[in-house]
Amino acid sequence: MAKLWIVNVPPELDEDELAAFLEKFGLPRFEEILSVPGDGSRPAVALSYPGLGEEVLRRFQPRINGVQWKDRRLSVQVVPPALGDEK
Amino acid sequence: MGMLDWLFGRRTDGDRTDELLTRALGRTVEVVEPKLALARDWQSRLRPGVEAAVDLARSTAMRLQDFHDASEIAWSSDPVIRALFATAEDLTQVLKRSSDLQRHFRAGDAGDEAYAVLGADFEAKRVLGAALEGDRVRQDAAMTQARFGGQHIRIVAATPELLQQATGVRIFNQILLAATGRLVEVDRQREDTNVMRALLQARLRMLDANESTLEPWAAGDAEATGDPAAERAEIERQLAAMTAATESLGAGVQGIDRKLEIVRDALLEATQSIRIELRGIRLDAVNTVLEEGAQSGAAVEFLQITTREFRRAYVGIRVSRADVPAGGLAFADAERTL
Repeated sequence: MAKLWIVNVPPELDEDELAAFLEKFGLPRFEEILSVPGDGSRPAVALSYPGLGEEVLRRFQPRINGVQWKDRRLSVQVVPPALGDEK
Repeated sequence: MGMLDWLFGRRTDGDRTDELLTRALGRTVEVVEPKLALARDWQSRLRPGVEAAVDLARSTAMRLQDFHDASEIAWSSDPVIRALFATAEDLTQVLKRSSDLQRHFRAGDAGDEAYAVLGADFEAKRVLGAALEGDRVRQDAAMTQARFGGQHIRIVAATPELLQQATGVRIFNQILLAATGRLVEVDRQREDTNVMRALLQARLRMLDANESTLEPWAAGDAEATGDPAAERAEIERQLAAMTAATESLGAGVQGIDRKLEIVRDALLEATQSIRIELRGIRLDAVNTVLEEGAQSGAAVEFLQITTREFRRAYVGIRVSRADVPAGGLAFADAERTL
């Protein structure tokens, strides 16, 4: 399953707020969220969308990449599914 | 998305419908392809597809009228809940696993009760089993067994009306994503066709440069004759076909217009390929399907949604906060496993 990787999210992230923000760009609610705080300077999240293929996610990626949200410029990438992983 | 929510709830027909449909049209281009709003008359041209999607989402959501209590006590008395779960513990585990349910009850303003949509894979399979015929037990009697699996709670709301709205919005968004997927597929086909066109153009340029001795592209290329004039005619024919194909896939100056038609057709196709029906069957205690009018067993009714990819059964459930175990890590289970 492909994932959406969003870097530079606010440290105290509210899942519902993030879902509502992404919904504005047409994305449905993510199924799972994995927080990757790192050293705290640029926290990231990996969002899973089981119903969406990699190509469909790539269509949404440029719409969100570089957008300013809560005084932070988001960097968005699509993580392809692992080899052997079903779509 | 308040207005769109309202579109999928109860409303008086004709009441602000145009304004609401305009919102739905706006949401469609927002999700599928924002550039579609640049096409001329995009709203009227996209309208049939969006109307069909809204109607399907709305009529499906409005079918959620009956709600079954999802609790261990109800499992023993409600035939629908008992048919969906083999044991009361299975039901508890599904309630525990539902992140939507956990999130709903974690919210500060949530009441003690929630309404949700419970979905499960469904199949009715012919099997051979034991049956009593007169005084004798027959071991190879053909019977139909109803099987439910992959139970999942997806949509949760505080009231039945809010649940209908949320379900309508969810279905509408899924149809839009199906149209987005179709557009992605068409874009990929167009890119492939463009590569083929570029190869054909290169081959034509080589012929122009009197490189008629060029070897055929691939072994078994029956079209390559060795005759430059015939080869040129064949390439030009293929090139014209490729150009027509790329235009039909939304390239060139008419690209946006063609994409609009593709999206409209994809929306109509998506709504036509989904079959939604209220299914009523009579089941015994082990989910064997009984004949209509049988005295034993109990009637079980659910919403069956069939698409190309899946067939699932859906029922509306009512969940009490007290029946939902806290989520998170199950340390006791992990300890037992270790």
